[in-house]
Amino acid sequence: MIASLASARQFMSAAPPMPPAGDSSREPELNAQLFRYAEDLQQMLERQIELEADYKDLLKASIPLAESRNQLNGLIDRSPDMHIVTDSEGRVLRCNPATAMLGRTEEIIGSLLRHWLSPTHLEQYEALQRRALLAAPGEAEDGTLHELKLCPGAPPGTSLIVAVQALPVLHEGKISSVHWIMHDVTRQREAQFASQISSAVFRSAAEGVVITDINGSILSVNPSFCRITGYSASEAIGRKPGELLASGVHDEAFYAAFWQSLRETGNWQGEIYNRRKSGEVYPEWLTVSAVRNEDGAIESFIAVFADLSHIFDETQQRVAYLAHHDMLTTLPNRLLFHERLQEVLAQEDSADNGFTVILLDLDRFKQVNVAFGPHVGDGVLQEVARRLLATVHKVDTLARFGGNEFAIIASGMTGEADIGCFCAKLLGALRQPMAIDGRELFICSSLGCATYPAHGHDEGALLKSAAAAMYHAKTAGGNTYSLHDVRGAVDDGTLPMETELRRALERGQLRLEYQPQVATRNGALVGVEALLRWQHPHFGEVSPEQFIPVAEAAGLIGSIGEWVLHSACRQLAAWDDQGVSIASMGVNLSPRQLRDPAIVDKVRAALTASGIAAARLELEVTESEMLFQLDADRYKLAALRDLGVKIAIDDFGSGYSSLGRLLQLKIDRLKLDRCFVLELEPQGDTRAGAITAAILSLGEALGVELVVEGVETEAQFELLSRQGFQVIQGYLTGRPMSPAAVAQRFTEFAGRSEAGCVHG
Amino acid sequence: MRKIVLVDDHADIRRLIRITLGKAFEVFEAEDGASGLDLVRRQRPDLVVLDVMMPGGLDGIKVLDAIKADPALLHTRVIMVTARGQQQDYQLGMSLGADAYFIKPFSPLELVTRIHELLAGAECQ
Repeated sequence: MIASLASARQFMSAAPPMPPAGDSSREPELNAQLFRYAEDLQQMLERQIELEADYKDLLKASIPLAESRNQLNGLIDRSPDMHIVTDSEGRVLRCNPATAMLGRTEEIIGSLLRHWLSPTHLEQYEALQRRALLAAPGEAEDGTLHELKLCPGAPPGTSLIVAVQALPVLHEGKISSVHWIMHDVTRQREAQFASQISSAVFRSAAEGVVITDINGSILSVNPSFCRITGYSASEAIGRKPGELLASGVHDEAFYAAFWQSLRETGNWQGEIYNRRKSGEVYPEWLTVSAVRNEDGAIESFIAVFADLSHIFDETQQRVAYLAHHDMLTTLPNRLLFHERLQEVLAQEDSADNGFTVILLDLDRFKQVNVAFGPHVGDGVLQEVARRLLATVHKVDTLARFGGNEFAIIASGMTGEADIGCFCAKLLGALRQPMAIDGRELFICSSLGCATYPAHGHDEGALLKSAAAAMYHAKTAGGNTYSLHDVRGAVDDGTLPMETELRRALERGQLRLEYQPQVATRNGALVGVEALLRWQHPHFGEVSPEQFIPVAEAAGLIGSIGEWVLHSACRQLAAWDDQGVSIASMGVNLSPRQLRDPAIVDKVRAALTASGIAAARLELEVTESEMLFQLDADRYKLAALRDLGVKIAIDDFGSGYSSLGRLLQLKIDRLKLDRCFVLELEPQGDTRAGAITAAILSLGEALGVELVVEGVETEAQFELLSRQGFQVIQGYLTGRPMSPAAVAQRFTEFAGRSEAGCVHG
Repeated sequence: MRKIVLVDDHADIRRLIRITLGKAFEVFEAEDGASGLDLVRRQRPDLVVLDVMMPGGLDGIKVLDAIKADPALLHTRVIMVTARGQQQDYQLGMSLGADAYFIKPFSPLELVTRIHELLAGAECQ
């Protein structure tokens, strides 16, 4: 109590008047007021400490007086029982030396007796105290013994069980205090408890227990004996174990050695085959011990045995499991995959419905092992297994073939569109960054598919077909899938979406929308980001998340990207002609595009064709897309920057955030991922608020412009602009819109600010 | 039970005062001068804790003036609370008949002691 007060006091005096936190002008006022509260509290605590000290002194002073009046002192002092007198509150006034088993006298005097009680006995204690205090004067004293459990101060964790009498003490005709007499019964209770436990063990043990006399006749058996052997207690008692249980497996020499050991050492332990009442022979682990009487003569034997038959079964199951599973990932291994595939082929209905075998190989996995060590590689494999398991259907079989190769049996899946969708889902699940051993890794994979019965009628043909397809996906650059064709030609994607996407360009189904980037200072339109849209006559509006991966896998991203570059630059020029001056145009660059050897020429061509100054074109690259080929990417970005175009890092803060790497890349802008904005709270004191502020100063230090994406509410806008962010992009300041809408937006703003000038 | 009205535009400060007063009083709260005066006229409290600086047309000084001018509120004691640095308000407040004056940050113990004193005094009268 005192200790906690003291530490509270220390805390109070250490606390300076709180500095104004947050932005609200009212924070300092509230903080100052809170501090006054703390000061008042401290005063009150100090006063309480003084009062408690006074009270203790008072108690000490009163003890000798009381003692001199009590003629029984000597007797009580020598009593092995604890004698304790408490006041009406339960505070200890006096105690005799026997209370040393509870704690030091100076600790006990003045303390509340309830503090020494085990929490399990508090209620009983309170009842006893109440009864003693409320007893009518002259009422016959309640001589009943009650048991309480006490917790001595030391050693910690011990307890005392005491038989207790609580006697009212009369003073001037009124009950003023309670005299407690406590007799230590801990040892008796423990002994009693131990015997209860052994009898409980005998009754409830999973092992069979037999007790025999010196001649081997059964005196007693436990329920487990009956369960294991099939004999009831009445059938067993009086018989010899050998008569009931001998299996005939062991020869005479075995039993001779058994008895010799028992007589000489008093013990025998080993595996033995016995026979149940049913006739079944089973293995058991048997321990026999001789029980000797006080003179050392053997009086009886106790045999304890465990039925090993089910353990044998479990071991067999375990061996079977080990043979069929990969230990690292606990997935089925190649053997189990083989068995499952045979089952599927044998089942008529699943064979009728068809299925697809998918082989999955991690791209550049060797590099991970070489660069970070095999334990990181193992971590990757385990994470891959987890993600695949979460993605595949329950009825599917997912196996690890060893190394970095996985295989899936996707039941009932034969349609090319379905398979494409499923593969895209698998690729997507694996593409997410993995945190392994404190590193963030990006793992891509290549998938090859073969469908039954189109690409093979047996396991060998299917696996060969899938492997060829997987190899094809690998040579196409990885992070993709391919489907084996029945004619033997590997088809890199004549899935409907891919076919349609190929035609989308020539049929004019692709268009760009532009999302405004707005200055926080005055709301002026300072730039736009071009966003690709695909309106398909049958599919409807297809989201970029869906078709961009397909375009990448199909090798279409190059031509689509080129179209985007040209269209965006042309649009900027067209706005210029209309007098709509938009300072900059952001265009997304996919990693595939970046790795296109001709990308620099393509960008230059788009600029030349439109006549747009290079500095007005901003190429947005997602930071998470660069783990491997770092040098090549850096070189390419530098070459693009040499053209004069700006480089922006898109979705900054969402992926592989190595600031060191960002420093190496020469970039002009960071676009803050929407995840920060989503977490922003208007109070401005959340972690996200702190992170945006930190990124802001980072940006300033690097001389990099910052754009915040995903701003949706006024409160977010307010906070970000207060923190000093200059440019915002998000639904609040404008959804992606048509070129005409951008022009209108620009004209409106120009009109407003002109009007403002006239009146201002 | 004695009634106390707290008028302060800062909800946390109102809450702190309410905690300090404990359950010994019936406490009403208002967050600006106009609603504060309204509440005082309806509840006719024994005492009002009144912040001087408040948004809106009626600041604490005006509310004080209105209370002291209202014959129905003769028994109502008023404790003014003002921000540090607004000490010229003290003169004005006392001249308008405030019964006590506290400068923020104030000691809650002193505030409660003063409230008890004022209300005990009212009893003697």
